[in-house]
Amino acid sequence: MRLQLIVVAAALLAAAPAAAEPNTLSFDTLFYSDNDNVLVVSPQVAAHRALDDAGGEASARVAVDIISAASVDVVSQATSGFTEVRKEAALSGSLRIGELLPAVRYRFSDEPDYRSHGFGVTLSRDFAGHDSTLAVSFDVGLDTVGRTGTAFSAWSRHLNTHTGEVGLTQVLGPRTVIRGSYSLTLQDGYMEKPYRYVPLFDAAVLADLDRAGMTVGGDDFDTYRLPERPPEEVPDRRVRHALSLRALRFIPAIGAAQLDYRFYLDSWGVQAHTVDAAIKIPIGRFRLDVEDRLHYQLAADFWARAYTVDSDGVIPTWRTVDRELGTYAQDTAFVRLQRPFGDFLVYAMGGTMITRYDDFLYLDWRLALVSEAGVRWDW
Amino acid sequence: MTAAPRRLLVALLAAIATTAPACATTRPYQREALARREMALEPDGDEAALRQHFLGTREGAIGGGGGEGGGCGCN
Repeated sequence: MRLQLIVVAAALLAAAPAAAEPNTLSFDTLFYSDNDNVLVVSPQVAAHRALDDAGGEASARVAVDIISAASVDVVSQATSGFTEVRKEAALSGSLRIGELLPAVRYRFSDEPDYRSHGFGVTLSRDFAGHDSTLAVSFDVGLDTVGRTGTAFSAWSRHLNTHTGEVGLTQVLGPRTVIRGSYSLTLQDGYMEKPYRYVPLFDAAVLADLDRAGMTVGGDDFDTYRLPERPPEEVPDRRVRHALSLRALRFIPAIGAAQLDYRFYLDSWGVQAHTVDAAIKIPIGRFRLDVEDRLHYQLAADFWARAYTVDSDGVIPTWRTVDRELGTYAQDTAFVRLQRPFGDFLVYAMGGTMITRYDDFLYLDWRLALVSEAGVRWDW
Repeated sequence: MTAAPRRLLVALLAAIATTAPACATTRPYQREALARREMALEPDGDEAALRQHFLGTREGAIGGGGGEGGGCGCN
């Protein structure tokens, strides 16, 4: 499959007619490390070739995630940690036809216990002398979930994802542009993690602890939990809505200020607000970007810090220890610096991500260091 | 349609209604600031995709930024 993708990518890029500059080759690497014993290195290579002067292009991208994790999620399942490699290849193409810009894309991702195919189309159209752009897109994801060490033919589950998005970009004047979009995502299939088992507790024991002013947590949950530990179980269908707004304004003598807001809710009861503010300041041949992203979300309806067994011994139908389904606040702040060197542009970014979990059994907070560096060659 | 999606739809329509119509066309000679690199809505798609994937695996919400799907690159 990888060889086929490379051949198709090479054919696409080679067959593209000599058109407007620039063609681009880029290399980026992202490093992530946190105090929950997770380390991720993600290099990627991408190439673009312009097909016209107005947004048409052919592109190919290959990315790898190298993950080493002994996080509390992992060790709480009585395993010692793992190292895993995820590989991804993506192709896309677009061509300007009058006011229309149709685009198609394909993505393949492979890791020992997860395979994913993604197909997408976008159609965008300019209006009002290019001051307005309306874009409509549709994406399909066909995923196969497996277990490490077990062949997909022996055990696998499927997850299908359909996403539709409509967006409008509007120039509001010589210095301001905004974009609003709405996306609807429908997911059907297996959304659990096959390695996750959920600890159960006797309600009377938790009540006794509460009276004693204690809360069961990551250090002592094994002491108080019941012997049963059923696998994670969540609904097989999820309907997800997101409304996003982005505003970008040029401020003379400073640079560009950007503000993003996203409101999200889904049929599992998760609601989230995400605000991202950035300022981009040209300083001589350098450009300095300072950005802060705040994400706050409320837990799914069936979320519980500690699931209890009722007096008849019935366990909760839906149960999870997925921290991304709980209530938490997360702040990501980073600084990015770039500088051109002839046809090359070099950048480096560094930042932190701080997460505060309101009611997660295994962990109260997480601190992560994030850095990224890359070079882009335009010719 | 439940109340929350209806509120979303109303908010989207309000956003479109307040921004789309009656905007005077920006002339080419007025686009100097808009043409600057730092004013691009998506300044570098590949760099943004890498960062969006990193953020997407650590946020319980998706949508509005692209880059979702394709395995999580997490545990």
